[in-house]
Amino acid sequence: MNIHEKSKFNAKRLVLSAVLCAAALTIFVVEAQFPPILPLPGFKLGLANTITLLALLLLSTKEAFAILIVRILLGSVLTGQPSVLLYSLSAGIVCLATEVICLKLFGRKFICEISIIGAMIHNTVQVLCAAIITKTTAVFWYLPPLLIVGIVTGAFCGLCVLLANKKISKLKLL
Amino acid sequence: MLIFIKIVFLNQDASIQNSCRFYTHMIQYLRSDIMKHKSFIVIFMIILTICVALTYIGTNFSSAGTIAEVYSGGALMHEINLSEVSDCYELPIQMEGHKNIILVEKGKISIKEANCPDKLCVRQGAIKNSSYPIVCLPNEVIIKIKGINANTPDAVSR
Repeated sequence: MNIHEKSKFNAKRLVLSAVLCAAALTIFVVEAQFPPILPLPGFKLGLANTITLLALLLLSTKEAFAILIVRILLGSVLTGQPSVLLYSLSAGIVCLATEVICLKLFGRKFICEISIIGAMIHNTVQVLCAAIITKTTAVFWYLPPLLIVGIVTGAFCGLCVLLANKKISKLKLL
Repeated sequence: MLIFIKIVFLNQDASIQNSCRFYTHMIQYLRSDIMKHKSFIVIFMIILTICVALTYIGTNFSSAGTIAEVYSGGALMHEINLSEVSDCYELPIQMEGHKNIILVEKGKISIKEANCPDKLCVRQGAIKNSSYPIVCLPNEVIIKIKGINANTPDAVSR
């Protein structure tokens, strides 16, 4: 790590990432309290993902990954579901990695589409994990309905990120 | 005569120019952001229709099986022939603090009680012959119905 990289680290970035992390954790915990709307295993609105995407837009890839991992680890402790940790951690990391690649490929204007792709990838990885852990291929029948749900929720979250990013980037936090 | 030819040529020229302009417009349009958004929407719509079709197939053209398999932690625990069940009974499954009570009735099977946090498996209700298994991910319990003939959707996914 050279001096130039060290100078990039400042208190503003740290505080902003900490605030975003707290927001993500709050949304994650509140969302876990809701009763499931559809009887689909793995169905969730995924609102906490909006914060990760927002961190990706406002800060950088590194901070987005840090926020994601801290949110999932602390969230699984707070909601008391450590058995689901493996699903959400693997799915979250793969999802964020694809979102980073898509952001490099398409640009910031396509954040809604990137969010949809991320949601679909997230659900696919979760179904794959379930198939590997339970060693049954019948779980793959849940992939098509989960992909439909992923498109809808991804579009919703993408719109949230689009509107929030417009407002927040006006504040000139960094 | 000459005038006529001239007019035709001129018209052709104009049409070529027009088509050129049209193509440049097309290329500009294809490179624009609106087109990219539209192509994304088309791709998502295609995926959506495929998924809706697959969901429809999964729910309606299911395997006509009667043998229910109960898996816990990846291992086959019970195999029940649902057509031979006369009286309904409860089947408790316990493993490392996870507890699920399975209700076996004639022709159908469901999870009655579970100590998982989201209770999705209970909400899913009874399954008769669907290709969708009952899944309780936190407790790693899966109930699925085995198809008899090989031409079932279940055989495709294997």
